[in-house]
Amino acid sequence: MNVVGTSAKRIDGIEKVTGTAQFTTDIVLPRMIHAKLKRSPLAHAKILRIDTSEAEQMPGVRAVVTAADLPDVRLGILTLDEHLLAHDKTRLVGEPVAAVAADTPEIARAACEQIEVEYEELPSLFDPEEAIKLDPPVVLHEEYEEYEKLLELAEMDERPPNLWQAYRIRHGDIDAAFKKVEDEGGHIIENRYATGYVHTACMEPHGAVAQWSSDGTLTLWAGGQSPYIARDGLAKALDLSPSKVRVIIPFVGGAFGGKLTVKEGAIAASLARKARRPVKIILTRAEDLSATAARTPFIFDVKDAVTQDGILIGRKVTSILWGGGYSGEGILKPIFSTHLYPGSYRLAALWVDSYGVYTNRVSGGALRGYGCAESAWAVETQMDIIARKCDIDAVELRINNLLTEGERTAITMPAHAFSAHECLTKCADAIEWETPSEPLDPPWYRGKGIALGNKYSFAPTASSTELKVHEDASCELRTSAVDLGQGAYTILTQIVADEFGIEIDKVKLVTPDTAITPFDHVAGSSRQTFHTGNATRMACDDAKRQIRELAAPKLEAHPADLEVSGGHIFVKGSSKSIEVEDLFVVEMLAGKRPADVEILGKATWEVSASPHDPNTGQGEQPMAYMGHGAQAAEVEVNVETGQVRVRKFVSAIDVGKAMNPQGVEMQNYGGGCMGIGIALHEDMCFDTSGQMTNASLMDYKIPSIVEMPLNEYMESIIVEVPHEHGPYGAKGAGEIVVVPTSPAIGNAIYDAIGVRIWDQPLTPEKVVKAWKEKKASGNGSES
Amino acid sequence: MVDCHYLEPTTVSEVCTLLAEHGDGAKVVAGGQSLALLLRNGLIQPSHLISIQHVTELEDITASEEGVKIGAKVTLNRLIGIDDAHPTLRALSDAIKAVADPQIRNFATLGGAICEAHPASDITVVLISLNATVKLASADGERVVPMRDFVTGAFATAAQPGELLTEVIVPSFDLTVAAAAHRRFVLRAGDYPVVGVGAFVSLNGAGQCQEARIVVGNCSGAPVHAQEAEARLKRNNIVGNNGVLAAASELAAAHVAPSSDPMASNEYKIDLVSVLTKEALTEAVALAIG
Ligand SMILES: Cc1cc2nc3c(=O)[nH]c(=O)nc-3n(C[C@H](O)[C@H](O)[C@H](O)COP(=O)(O)OP(=O)(O)OC[C@H]3O[C@@H](n4cnc5c(N)ncnc54)[C@H](O)[C@@H]3O)c2cc1C
Repeated sequence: MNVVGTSAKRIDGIEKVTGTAQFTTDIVLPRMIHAKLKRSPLAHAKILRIDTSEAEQMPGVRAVVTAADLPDVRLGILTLDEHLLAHDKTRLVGEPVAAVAADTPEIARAACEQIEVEYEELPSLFDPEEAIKLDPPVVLHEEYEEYEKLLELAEMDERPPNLWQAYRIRHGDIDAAFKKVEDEGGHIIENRYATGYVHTACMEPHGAVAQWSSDGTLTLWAGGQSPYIARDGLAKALDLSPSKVRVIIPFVGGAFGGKLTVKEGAIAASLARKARRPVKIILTRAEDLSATAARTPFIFDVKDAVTQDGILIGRKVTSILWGGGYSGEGILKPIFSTHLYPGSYRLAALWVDSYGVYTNRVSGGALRGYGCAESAWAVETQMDIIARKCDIDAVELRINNLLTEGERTAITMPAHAFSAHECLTKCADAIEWETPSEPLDPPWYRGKGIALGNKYSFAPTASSTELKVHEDASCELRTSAVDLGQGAYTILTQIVADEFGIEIDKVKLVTPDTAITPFDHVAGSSRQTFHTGNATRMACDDAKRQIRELAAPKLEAHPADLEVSGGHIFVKGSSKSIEVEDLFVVEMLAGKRPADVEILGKATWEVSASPHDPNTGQGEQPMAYMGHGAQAAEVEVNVETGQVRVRKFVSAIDVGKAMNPQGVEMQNYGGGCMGIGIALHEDMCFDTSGQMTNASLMDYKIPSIVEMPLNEYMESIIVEVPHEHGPYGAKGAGEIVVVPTSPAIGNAIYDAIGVRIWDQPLTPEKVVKAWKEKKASGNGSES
Repeated sequence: MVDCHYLEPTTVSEVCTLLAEHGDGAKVVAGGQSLALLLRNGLIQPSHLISIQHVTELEDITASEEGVKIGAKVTLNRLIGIDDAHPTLRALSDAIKAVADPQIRNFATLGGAICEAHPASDITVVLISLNATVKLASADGERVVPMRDFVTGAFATAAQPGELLTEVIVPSFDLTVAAAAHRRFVLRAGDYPVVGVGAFVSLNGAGQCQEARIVVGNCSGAPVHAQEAEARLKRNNIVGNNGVLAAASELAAAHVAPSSDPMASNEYKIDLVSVLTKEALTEAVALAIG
């Protein structure tokens, strides 16, 4: 190995910094027109009438579509509950009700304003705890029972009418655990935690370009995370056979879970079909922030049974995901958020009840960590509280409760490549955990906090790749893996270069295009290095096998005795060799002519899963792998203004094998920055009618570089505990880097000023309030 | 895209003529940093944009007995460090350092910052605390308006249609006994502040406060003068007297009645007024005693 494991330069770097990289917005086609959406101003309403006649008459308008122009199908990831354009009801502010394509975006926008929609406003429901009641004040989906569903909820006597997800973990005797603690004098620690409304707010807003060809094939360009999920979604929405849909993913300006589906693309496609012209749609920043899926809040009630000496013997969690009008891409979050609980600690008893409910707010989606960054906020704050209660150091307490390699977890699956201990101790060392923070003059206070995290990668899943070897011994990898900025293309290139013993610049990537590149599930769940990486190695093996077979007669050797490297084919243990290019020619009397040779390696890497039982959460293999990481922060808190500065930040994550160490470092830094934003700053705000009130980057506070620790105080630690199934032992790095961030910071704030803030983000205003309450009550001790 | 005429006069009198000619539909554009947002959001729909980019006579900074005169078109970046040459502008320079970011400050002008009349503007807060005045020119002539009367509400000024702000005059004061200071609190670098406070104090020989001005931004449409707080300081010994500064800060906080916004509740803003007033006063007093 010589390329894998090195910090090879980003292969997309030059294109991106010189501005030649093509993103969706750069695509311009002949006769292309522009689309805008007419969105609902109401959170919950019946649509009585839509009048598009005036808009249609406007000069420059080429097509207008409403639900009436579309197949009457509901869409969704697993619960199909959402029409592309609102059908008879709208269930959130900003839901698209109609769309216009016109010669310019300005005309399209003006035409949208001319569309008249008559609504009958219905009472709205915004409170998840109201929503989950058996007898809620408002029901969003009256026809829920008739919807097509691809999942099974946990059994319940009666389903609350706004519930779309229910999942349980049942392991051990939870009542006995609490009783034991009561009888033997331990601690029962019970708290409620909440996360906030966070948006992916990618640099590139959602958008797409759609074009139909004369044979009825749709081609769609869109910044998405999965060309195949996009293809199947388009086919379903437009009632086409998937073979009639081609999805091309150009460069993507960030996704973080927000670009799993391409709803806007499907609307653009329906306009393009009607207008018989290519249609481009690019959402405005305000639309992107207010009307595309967000990381919606969770509420967690955590109750722990802890022995006097700090051993966690029972944990009970009830959580509600505050969903929006539709189940959306958040559909699996109530399940997957629970994977965190058994992932790090030994739990003799673990009971979890996890739900997702509809409300008339923005739909819940994925955002880096898919539920685990949220559940970590609850349980890793809880661990800090337990440590203080038991008067045991917070690192030691965690270590005392950790699983060990090979141990059965509370959901059956054994712990493997279990690196939590190493991540935690390396992180603690780097932040000088043993040394208390140097005090500052009031009103400033300093403190340190630490947290552990884990992140599953889902299964079942599969990745296929194809590897073509050219005459000049260069290799072409065809993959539907998407580089969202995380560096996937560079790593896959490194793997090919490594497997063939060639220079990186002799590897070419054919990027996602469903007409050319084979199936890959998704650029999500930190899965591409692991799965596409494996598939790439296997496709390389397959191509090398073909090369050996072609070379064997020429070298008069058995294929098994040959080795392919650096463009040569050697006979092992001898000096005999030929070049790869020799395989592409045949010797004729008069000289050489091209041989009829195609070297195309193919492979599919698949990870199956044992289905998890929604009533017990048990399963031998409910996921592909689990990654671990720890983070620590030192903060400075001003108790008068509430300002929190993260002075130092350490992120220690286990990636099994750092395929590209600089890439991992960037994940540590970038993830840390994003995590700091989520912990302290970012918060989507809504008024009482369900309208987002800070839908601009001026008001939605993504922190700037000034809010980050100085370079020398930001530390990245790479831990490498190889996974038996990972390529070269590697696991993913993309999500774990935001999982422990919030609790690490929250715990540091407690260390500094002795107050807990239970709901994210931990804004200055909440800090001041909590500090004042502490002063008023005269103590800061926790229950 | 905006559909309107874009004019580029080169002198103040040409600007005034054009403003008179095109009436209500005319808008001055200086650095365009605020104007572009208003246009994009459809909040203004001018028929004519009159750029003052080439009006070089608005670029001067001159000092006289009266004070320092700053042309309306002087960019914010040029004002950073201006206190080296004009020490009375120290608080202004300090405040501007924190405004937006270097790219914006490179285009943004002092006149634009004042005429934008943003409720959270740091620049108006400081200028009012410095007792500055502005000069307005129109086809009918010139007039001078004190800054404290110029900003009349959120995004509203006393400028009449047809008037161009040509210069800002910051009056002289005796640096050996007087000083101004500014404090702000932001949720993120480069943002408009949640609350900003400008303070000016002058002392007599006995360390008593002679003059005091406390101006609070973003607690109302226009900057607010905390008069009770100012009164609490006047004729009192304020050197080394933390108690009186704290009392004045409390009065300033009691004086304001901000409304909540998505970023901050009114209670929190009031807390900040107290904290920032105290800090600004403490710094101003320290500077005044030299
Ligand atoms: C992201 C961002 C953050 C900011 N943060 C802060 C902050 O923290 N604190 C703060 O104080 N300010 C802040 N600002 C405001 C900034 O100071 C102003 O945007 C800038 O100074 C405006 O100057 P301009 O030359 O670009 O004005 P323009 O945008 O050209 O004009 C602004 C307004 O003033 C009018 N106008 C301009 N010049 C004249 C004139 N000579 N006579 C009459 N009318 C005129 C225009 O017609 C327009 O209505 C921020 C701005 C941005 C964009």
